[in-house]
Amino acid sequence: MEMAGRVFWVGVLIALGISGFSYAQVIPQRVSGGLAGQLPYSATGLIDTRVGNVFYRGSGAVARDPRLVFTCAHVAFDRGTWARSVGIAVGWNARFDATNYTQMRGWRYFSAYAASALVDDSSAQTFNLDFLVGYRNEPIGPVVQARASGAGYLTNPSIQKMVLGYPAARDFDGADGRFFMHRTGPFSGGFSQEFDAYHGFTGASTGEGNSGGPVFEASSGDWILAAILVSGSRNSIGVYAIDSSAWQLSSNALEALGSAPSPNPGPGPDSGGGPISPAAEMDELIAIRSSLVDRLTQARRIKNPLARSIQLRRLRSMLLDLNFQIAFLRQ
Amino acid sequence: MSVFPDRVRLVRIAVLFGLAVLLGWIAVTIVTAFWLPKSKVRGQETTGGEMSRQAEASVPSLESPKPSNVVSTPTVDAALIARFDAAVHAFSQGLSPDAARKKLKELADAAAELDPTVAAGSIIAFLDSGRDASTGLGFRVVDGGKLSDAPSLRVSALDLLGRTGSPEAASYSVGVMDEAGVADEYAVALRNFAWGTENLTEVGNRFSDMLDRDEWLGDPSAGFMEAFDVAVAAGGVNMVLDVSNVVLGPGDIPAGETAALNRPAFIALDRLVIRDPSAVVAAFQIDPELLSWAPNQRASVLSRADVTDPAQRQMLENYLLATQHGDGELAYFKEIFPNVNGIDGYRLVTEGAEIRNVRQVDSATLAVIAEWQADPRFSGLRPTLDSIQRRLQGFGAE
Repeated sequence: MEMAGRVFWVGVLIALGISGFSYAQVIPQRVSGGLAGQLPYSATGLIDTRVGNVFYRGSGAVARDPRLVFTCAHVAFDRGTWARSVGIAVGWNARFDATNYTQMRGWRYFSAYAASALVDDSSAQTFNLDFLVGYRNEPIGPVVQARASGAGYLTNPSIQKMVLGYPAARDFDGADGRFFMHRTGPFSGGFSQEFDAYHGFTGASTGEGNSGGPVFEASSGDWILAAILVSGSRNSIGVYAIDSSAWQLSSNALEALGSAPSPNPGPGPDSGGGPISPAAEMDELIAIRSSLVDRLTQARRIKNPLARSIQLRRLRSMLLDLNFQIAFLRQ
Repeated sequence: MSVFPDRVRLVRIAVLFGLAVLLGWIAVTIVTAFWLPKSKVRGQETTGGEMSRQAEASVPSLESPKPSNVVSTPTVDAALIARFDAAVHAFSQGLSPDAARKKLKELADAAAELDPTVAAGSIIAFLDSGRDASTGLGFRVVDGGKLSDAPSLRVSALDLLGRTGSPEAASYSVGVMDEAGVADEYAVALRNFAWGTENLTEVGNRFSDMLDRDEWLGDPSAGFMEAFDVAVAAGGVNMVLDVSNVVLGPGDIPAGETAALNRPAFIALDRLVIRDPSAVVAAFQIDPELLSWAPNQRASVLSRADVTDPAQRQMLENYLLATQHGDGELAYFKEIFPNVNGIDGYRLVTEGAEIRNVRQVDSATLAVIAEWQADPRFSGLRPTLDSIQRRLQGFGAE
């Protein structure tokens, strides 16, 4: 019987291992009310954005300056318009949604012409752009220090890390996070670089809604912001490590608030061709208009509907522009 | 019994002879297939572009020996060309993304070590050879408009050509644009051209030429989209019109299609209206219906208007008073005007971020709002104006 009991317990352990309990998994735990008034918890907040007519929920932190909020961009980006609002409820820790969001006056984020941090795009290159700084003239709340370059702290396995935020549901087991502040960690172990500023860590998880949450590193008894949470799964997290680009972006935000010198270059000089006579210009414009009419006829035969729509509109604009110039010359 | 061994020996000799002939044939085939064609290609390269002609001239001629005190300076570097050839081979075998990036960086480092003219000449020689290979990477712009990732070796070579800073880079790139069949090559050539000329009108014309390519418009590549930065660099009313016209509104997008160009167009217009506001004013004068098919994109552009500039204020007044607004357009406008947000990132041509001082913008806007509230023309817009005023005052504006 003793032997049978041992076999049974070994079997249970193997089954647990197969079912996923073999991870040394760090999962989000609710932050007690007493801690919420202390840094870094008091600088962490629930983020609420409105993009189009859809509300998104995320996390963020007041960092570097009391007027700046660091969070991720994918909760605030639309494909061709601005988010209507970005707000934060600092230190929020309750069963229900916040009622007193502090609205950002403005925000800056990264975007390439060809790639942006979209809510429905989960590529490493997208996460590498997933950073937003919100700002307003008045202090938003208690502030935590931020590293100008966080990667070295993240990849150092001996430094303790901690993630804060507001998971709506834990990735690990689906437990309802409501609107309580959660803490993942402290934990040790090194992040690995996935794509430039985007770093990953296996063995910890958070949950949807924790996006944009601060990732801290322990330094002499303080927690310093080193990264922003941007992705996750049941047993991993992905973060945007603060780097020189992110730091510059936050400096640009401070400059908008009047706190830094302006390096903003204006447009370059327009050095187009030399002057020609009005009569010659008129002849040229009329010739161009004639060719544009031909191109309009051709454009109507373009098979690709998007290209056809765009080309017809462009040609119409060119004709309008030409008519405008011709009318101007005739005056 | 005595004949049979002789026959075996004869057969062995015949087999050995056959093998020798076969080996010889293989050797000749290898030499003609790989070495001689390369020599021939390089010979053709020297009759190509301006740089190649310089390379040809620099080769000592048997008929006209140079004086012994003149040292000829090579205008191509055989080692760099060999590196490109080796890279073609390596990429053809398939490389991991990390290995591909490493290979491109090695090429960039090797080119950077050379005199810019020599590097440019060598890269042009490679480009003229017509050889290419897919890298398996995307099109990614980093600091200074350089590419860290390029989808093909030719795109990477064009990037390195521009980075040499050599005058030949711009002139050669014009030829590339004239003949380009690949949008990403056109995009980098356009960047090289923009880097090497002060004629912004021509730069803008080349951007418009890119939009003329229906096959690229219908299925835009990453390079095609990144090239929208050239429109921002060129500025002017034509760029505003061109970029506006690629924006698709809700009624423009056929089922199953996406408005991929709305994002680059949004960013380009947003930066154009700050960098070259007079061009945007002129564009709305030419075409008062501009962006009427995409009301929220129009509101985004107008939300940037600087009310302290009389022309922009007039444009804004026309927009508020004389425009037929789309569904929800004004509701969106009042939530973002005056717009002090920003989009930062690495661009192909332009540098620096557009930054507006929040206090100054809000203060100036509040003053104008007060004037409009007192103006009977704006009576129908009173709720919108009141809403904007309350929002700005809520942010501490005075």
